[in-house]
Amino acid sequence: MSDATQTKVTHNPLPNKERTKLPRQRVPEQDAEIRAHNFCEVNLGFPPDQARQESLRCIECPKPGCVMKCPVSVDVRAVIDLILAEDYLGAAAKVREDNALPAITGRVCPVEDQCESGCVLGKKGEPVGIAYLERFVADWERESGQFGLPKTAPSTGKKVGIIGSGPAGLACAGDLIQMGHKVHVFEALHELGGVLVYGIPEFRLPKEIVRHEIDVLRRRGVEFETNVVVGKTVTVDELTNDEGFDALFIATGAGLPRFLNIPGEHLNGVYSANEFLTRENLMRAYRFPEYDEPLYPCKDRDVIVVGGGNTAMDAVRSALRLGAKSASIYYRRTEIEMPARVEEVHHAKDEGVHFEMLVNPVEFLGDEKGNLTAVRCIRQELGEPDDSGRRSPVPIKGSEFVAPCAVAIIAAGTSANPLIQSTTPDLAITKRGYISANDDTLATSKPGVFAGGDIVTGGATVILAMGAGRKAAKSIDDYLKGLVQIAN
Amino acid sequence: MVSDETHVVTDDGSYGTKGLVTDKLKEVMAAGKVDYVLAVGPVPMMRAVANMTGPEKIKTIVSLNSIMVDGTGMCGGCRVLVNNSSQFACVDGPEFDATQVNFEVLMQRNNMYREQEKMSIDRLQADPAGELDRLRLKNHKYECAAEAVGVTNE
Repeated sequence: MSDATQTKVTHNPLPNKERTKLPRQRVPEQDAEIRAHNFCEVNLGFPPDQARQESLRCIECPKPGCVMKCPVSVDVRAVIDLILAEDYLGAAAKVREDNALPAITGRVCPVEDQCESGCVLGKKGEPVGIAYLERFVADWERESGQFGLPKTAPSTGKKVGIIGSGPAGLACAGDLIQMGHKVHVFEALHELGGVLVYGIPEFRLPKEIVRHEIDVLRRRGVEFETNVVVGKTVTVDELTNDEGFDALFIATGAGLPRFLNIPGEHLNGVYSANEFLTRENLMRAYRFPEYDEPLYPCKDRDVIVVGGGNTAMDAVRSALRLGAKSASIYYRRTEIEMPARVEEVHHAKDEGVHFEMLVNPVEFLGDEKGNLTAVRCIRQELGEPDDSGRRSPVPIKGSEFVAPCAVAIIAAGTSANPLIQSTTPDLAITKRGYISANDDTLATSKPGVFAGGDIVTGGATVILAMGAGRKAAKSIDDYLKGLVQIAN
Repeated sequence: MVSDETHVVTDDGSYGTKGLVTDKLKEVMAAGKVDYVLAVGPVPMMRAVANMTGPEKIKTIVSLNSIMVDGTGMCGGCRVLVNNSSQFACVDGPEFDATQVNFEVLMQRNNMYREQEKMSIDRLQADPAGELDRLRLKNHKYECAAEAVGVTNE
């Protein structure tokens, strides 16, 4: 029984029986009534004593379900033991071996479906608060001003280009730099971080934290270049043929926002969630006029958000913070089918978001100036399950109603962005326009070019994109080693 | 210079001849056959050009300046009605066949932030140096980091 997974951990003095009796620690939060009016972070995170208290609950399973359920396989038990040893910097370094962005995943991972769903304590009671612990060590590291950096392999002399600085690109960069390769990340926008900066609001993921995680990668040797729209200002072929990249990873993320294709979508006040959130987050429209980016006024007006995912929750909670008179979610199924994280839905409800279930907008109505004034909807009931296994909504005849609103935000998902595909002729794409990549290796039809994250799978989560980034790093490393062998 | 003839018109006559683009276009169209018109500029001008060339069946391309945020296809803010369907100027355009473009919707959408744009311009003009200083400062300041401790309620 010398298997590493059987190693006796020594920093927890309690017998297992006592550990399971300990209650899960509640993370301090900003009060709902106060936070509904500001953009500061909702969760405040564990102080050290609470983090250690929560760590005491881990019973150190020989085959840890939490690690198996983690898309990037963070060694949770080792991290928890380092927390108990009060070696928080060591714990941060331990997380970073598998996860380049711990302060981010500790905040936005859907843990109830991942690590925490694998925790054995969850079978009878509540699982260990793994995400809060991950966040704690990353925050502790950042606030200490020190860095818990994992060791890096000797330089291989190979150069990898990563297109996109979102979660997939950053995770890939973190692994490749550790493997000893030279890494250069291209970003289309003027700020690094992709969806982490344009999509997720300040109150859920402060931008300062994203910048810090990127600074850590920079410190580890990753190069970043902003304002490069690969597919427009430079092509994939130019990067491999003229600029000397030995391999490329395309991680350009979720693409074009979907609209509902109903009358009135061109009225002023109708937004895609991507536009609304980009204006608010990346361009800081919530601080207008201090910042110049405008947003169609939400203050003292009715705002509706169409959709039931995390993006919809981010948009509706933002509208509330911008002073909306009412902020409502309109979703065509019921709460059970909503893809949003449970915690996000709870937070939204506590803050006063109104939920209107089983409704579907059929027309946006406006005034003579083209400004949105109302939405006409139809009520629905659930019918037979569709391809996704969720029961499809069926409209109820004669149930139409008109609800006043000045701003409508559509969070109905995205379809593939065509920029790279349309300028890279031999890059195979799927029927729906996403990039075709091998499930196991993420290799595309072009040798040396790999792709992963939302541009391959369609819209998913930050951590799944990071998982793809890690997988790509492994494949790229194998590919580059192959190149070395061929050269020898 | 890639054209055989170049005509310049300005609103106030400060360069070339005084007048509108459409005045000159009318002359050129009257003088001989025109095969292709490319119009780039303010929406009312492009619409006026399209209204002149459309009935004459002259192929006319306009370059649309709808409001864009990122310009990479991500936000959909630049959507324009072309042939009655939604197109994104950033990835589907910005050049479109003028006869297919719904200019009314384009103008309406371009007016969406008129009030806020005026506020921003007034603010800049009132104190250009101060505004620039504020922008530079902001690039180095992370807003909520300062606020989170005291949890401010605006």
